[in-house]
Amino acid sequence: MRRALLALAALLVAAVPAAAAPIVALQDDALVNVRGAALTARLDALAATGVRVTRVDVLWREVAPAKPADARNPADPAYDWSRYDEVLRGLAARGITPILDFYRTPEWASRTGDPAAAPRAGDGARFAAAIARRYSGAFPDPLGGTLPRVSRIEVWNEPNLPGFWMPQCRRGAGGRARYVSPRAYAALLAASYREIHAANAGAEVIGGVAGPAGRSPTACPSDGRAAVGSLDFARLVADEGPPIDAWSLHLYPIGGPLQAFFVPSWSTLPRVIRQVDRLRPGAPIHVTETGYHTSYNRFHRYFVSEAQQAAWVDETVTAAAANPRVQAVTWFNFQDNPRWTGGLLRGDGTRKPSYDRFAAAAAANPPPPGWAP
Amino acid sequence: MSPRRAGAAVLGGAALALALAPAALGASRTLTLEGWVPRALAFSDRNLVWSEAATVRVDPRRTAGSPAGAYPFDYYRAEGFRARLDRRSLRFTAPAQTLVSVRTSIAAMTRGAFAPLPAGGLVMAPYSLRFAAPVVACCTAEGEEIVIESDGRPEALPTVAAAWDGSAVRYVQLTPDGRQVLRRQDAAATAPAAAVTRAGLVALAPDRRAWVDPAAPAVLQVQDDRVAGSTPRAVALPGTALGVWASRGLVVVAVRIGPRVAVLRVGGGPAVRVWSGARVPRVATGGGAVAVADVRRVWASRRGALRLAVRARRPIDAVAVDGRRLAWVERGLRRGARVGVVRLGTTP
Repeated sequence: MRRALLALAALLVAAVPAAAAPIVALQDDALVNVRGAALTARLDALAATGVRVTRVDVLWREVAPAKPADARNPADPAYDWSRYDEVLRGLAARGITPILDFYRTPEWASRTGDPAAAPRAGDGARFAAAIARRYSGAFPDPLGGTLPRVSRIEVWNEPNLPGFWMPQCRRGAGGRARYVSPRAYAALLAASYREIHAANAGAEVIGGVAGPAGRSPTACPSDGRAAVGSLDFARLVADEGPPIDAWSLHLYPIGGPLQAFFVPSWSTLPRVIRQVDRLRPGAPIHVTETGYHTSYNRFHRYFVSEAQQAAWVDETVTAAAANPRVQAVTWFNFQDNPRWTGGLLRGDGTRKPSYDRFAAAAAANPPPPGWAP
Repeated sequence: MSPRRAGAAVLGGAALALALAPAALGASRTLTLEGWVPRALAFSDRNLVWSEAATVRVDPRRTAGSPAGAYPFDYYRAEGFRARLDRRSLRFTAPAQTLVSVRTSIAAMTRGAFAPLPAGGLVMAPYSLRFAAPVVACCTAEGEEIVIESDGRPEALPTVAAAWDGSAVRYVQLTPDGRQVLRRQDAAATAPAAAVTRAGLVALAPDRRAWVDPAAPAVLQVQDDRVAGSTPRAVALPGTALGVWASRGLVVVAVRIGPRVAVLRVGGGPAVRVWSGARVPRVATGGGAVAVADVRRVWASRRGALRLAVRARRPIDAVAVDGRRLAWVERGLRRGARVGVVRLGTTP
């Protein structure tokens, strides 16, 4: 009997997929909104979680309010990098590695003036080049020495959602939706890939960054405001064949990480990976946003209890570890604000139960040497 | 009249009718909703508004593309809707529109507190025994919903009654020992009142608050909120209170009297019995009228005892009344699926 039990236990162990420890990251989207002592305090608070990888949004519209004469040159006087220099110096000083993403089209590069308007691929790629060059590890720091090196750049943020990229679709024959964002995004991704590698050869260029949309609509609204499903977006971008080093997407499942099966969720990742493999077989997958809200707000209608959120921090790491292609998973966000209640900290700065669970997960899953700042 | 002239007259009459009643085009006497779920209905200007709550079973066998090994799970929803009515409120002129959609994995919710706001608006506060569900109103002039209360902390207070007072939403929350906290949208919480009650035994109207203390279940307290600092009026009830509802100028109470349930109307004077039956019915009040739905029948009136208004073929899940206007939701089946059929009528 005992032998039989041991054999059964051995079989069960063999049946569980080998768990690869994912890198556990945390984004604080308020980092780029504060300066000086307030920034120092936020950076210290972020470091206190034990996290060693974070994600930073570079808002193109803020860095380049006017059109640069030489857009590839980060020293062009039209650029204002001061807040990002300060953030990246602070992260480097604390041993935290950033993944940079960029979005928000400046007015001069926007066809409609809207920050969500899809940029011309060349304009966006030249800005990507400026980021890569400024944070190549060799660019002079205005305060002396060189600015920190950034090794991972995500091209845009959620280009399949109308809040970040417009238009998403056009009306085709018979009123059916013809999705235009994947092709336009693929052009930006391909151009950015070339520019980033020319400026910072070792940088990893991450494409996709797809937001959490399920089904794509069959009809396109007259204003083109629709969301292309995360899986459809991956397939349609793959049809265009842009080069990538890694793919990223955002997961906010309805249901726990181990139970949810709507697209996109952890259990549907293999379907996305099949599309990514058409672009680059074996490319790493980064889930650069995931999380659970702990109260209702009109921007995010699904929420869980603070206790569930804490338990699902653990399950998120388990779900990520179950898929060896997942290299990094970023919890979004560090602290609640009126539009986002998925933080580890409440709006008043007090810790939710998830804080300790996240800190334990970050400590248990340190980044490998290649991810050092 | 020659056949040709008669034909022209018929065509002309039809054209005139179309020109005079464009809003009636496509109007429907009924509206079909998904499922037999608890709903709260109310009239708001030329609209019917309602809330509903349900458990959503997510089944991989019914979801295309589900990965192997996925298993079913539940989450919970509470939603608010609006449907536009014609001038006489006897037909629907547009499909239902979703105004609010609350989704959670915490625990099941009931429809909870619900009240109409002007111009087709609503305020809803779903209720759960396990957590404090949000209080949400719809909508701003820009059509955006207003989250009045959404405190995710474990110690957050549940909301058990809500109403529009003419300029803002007021709502009642309960402390763990049952004391009431009367709150107003965008105002700080007041200290809990000494008055104790429980969910279902407290109701808010634009002008008054009514409640029953479970320790004194045969006494209704009615507080006139138009008079600052006034003391509540105690109204003796002929039995143990089972439920309390309120609208402007009127409170309705269901009480158990022996094996029967009575529905009482409480205006400015004593409680007056207007209906009795074997079980607690669905109750609505609005525009000075009271309506109850018990199994397949609806009784309603604007004064005195309720009169039979509707004999339905199927059980009724919800009822609304506003003066002469009446609406109810009947259970139905469409292609084997459970549906709610909303119908419109008039108070006898």
